[in-house]
Amino acid sequence: MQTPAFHRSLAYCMGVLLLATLAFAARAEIHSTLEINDEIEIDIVTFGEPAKTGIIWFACRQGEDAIEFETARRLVSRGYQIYFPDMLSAHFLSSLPSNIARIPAAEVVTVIRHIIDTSTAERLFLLAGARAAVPVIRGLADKNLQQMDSKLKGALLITPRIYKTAPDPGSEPVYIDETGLSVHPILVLEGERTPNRWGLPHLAATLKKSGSRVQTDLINGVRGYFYLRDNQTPTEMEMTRQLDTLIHDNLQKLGAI
Amino acid sequence: MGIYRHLIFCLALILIGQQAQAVAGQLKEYWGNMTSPRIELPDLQGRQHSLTDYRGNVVLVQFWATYCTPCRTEMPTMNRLIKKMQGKPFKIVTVNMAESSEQVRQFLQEVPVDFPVLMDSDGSTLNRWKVFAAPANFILDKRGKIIFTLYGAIEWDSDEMVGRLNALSEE
Repeated sequence: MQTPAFHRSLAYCMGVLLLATLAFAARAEIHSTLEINDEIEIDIVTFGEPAKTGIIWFACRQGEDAIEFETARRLVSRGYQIYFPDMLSAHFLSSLPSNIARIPAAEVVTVIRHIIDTSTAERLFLLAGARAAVPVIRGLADKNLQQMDSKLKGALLITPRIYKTAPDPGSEPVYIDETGLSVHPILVLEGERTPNRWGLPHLAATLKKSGSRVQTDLINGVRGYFYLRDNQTPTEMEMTRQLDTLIHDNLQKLGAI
Repeated sequence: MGIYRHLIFCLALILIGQQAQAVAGQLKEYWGNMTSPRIELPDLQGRQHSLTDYRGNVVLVQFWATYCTPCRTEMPTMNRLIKKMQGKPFKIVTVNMAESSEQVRQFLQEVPVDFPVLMDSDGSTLNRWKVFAAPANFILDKRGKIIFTLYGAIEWDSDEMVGRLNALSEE
């Protein structure tokens, strides 16, 4: 005969085991490789099990910013599957935010198409922040991608920096050439404490040129690419902790644009 | 050996010259609409300022924000520039980018300035001036026309800059 204490201990152990299994499942990530050609192979890190909604997240510095992978794990527990294509390693480029803008558009499109073709998600969104918005804009400009009967439902850009050159005082901003060639919906979030917020109407008007439905919104109390900064303010730290909620809420909005 | 020393000296001079050019090169000639948009804004004390009040002076108009780290660094150099340009027809006018009075006051306690700080509370002035980065600088000639722009922070009291502003003030 087992005592009640034994049963309590057993239940406790099973609970711990279950939690550990769940935690492990949430942390589990799958590494795969996509061969673009004889010379270029792109690693894709996938977080989470197949889900209804998938996110293709282009990171500025793949693997360098733990916050993106941490946020991905939290998004998995909200029912998403997240794909991180490592666009830099294939070209032996260092993890500098500026390098992500050097990735050829064709590779970006191949990666997006591959994930669209292989994912079982019913809908997929592109996600990027800061300079990593450049490959997203280039991908969205691809005509073939636009013509696909696609699960791709749009792009969420968090404090995007898609300037061709730094904006000159007294002149309209100039963006990379592919800006305004997209048809998919785009939601742009910008920090309230950055001069870039004043360019949002111009950016939205430019992005709409080929038919994209575009919405912009401000994130209160934060500067541009707040979640990647070394010198975060308390507000920015708090917003970074809630990055999964910010992404989740705004993907809902994006789906309804 | 003498020849080599000479060569190194010449190379050093060329490098210094190039650096000086790079500093000056940050000022960009402005090719847009040459007439500066109007500025009619209150300062922190509520006194109204108009850009037209500064006609007859070379004016540095700067748009800045408290969250802009380079702005914090360069403001003391602007204070020193005013001292170096004393007696010359030269003024500095700065416009804060739609932050609250409390935020600006707190900043100015840490970084006191010797020039007017105007409050563009709804951002309409910076929109007219097409400002999308900070600090964004405009140099106006005595007739109020924008002749140079400059994005980013510099040492405003460098000999190079003082020389250029002096030359403009004597035109």
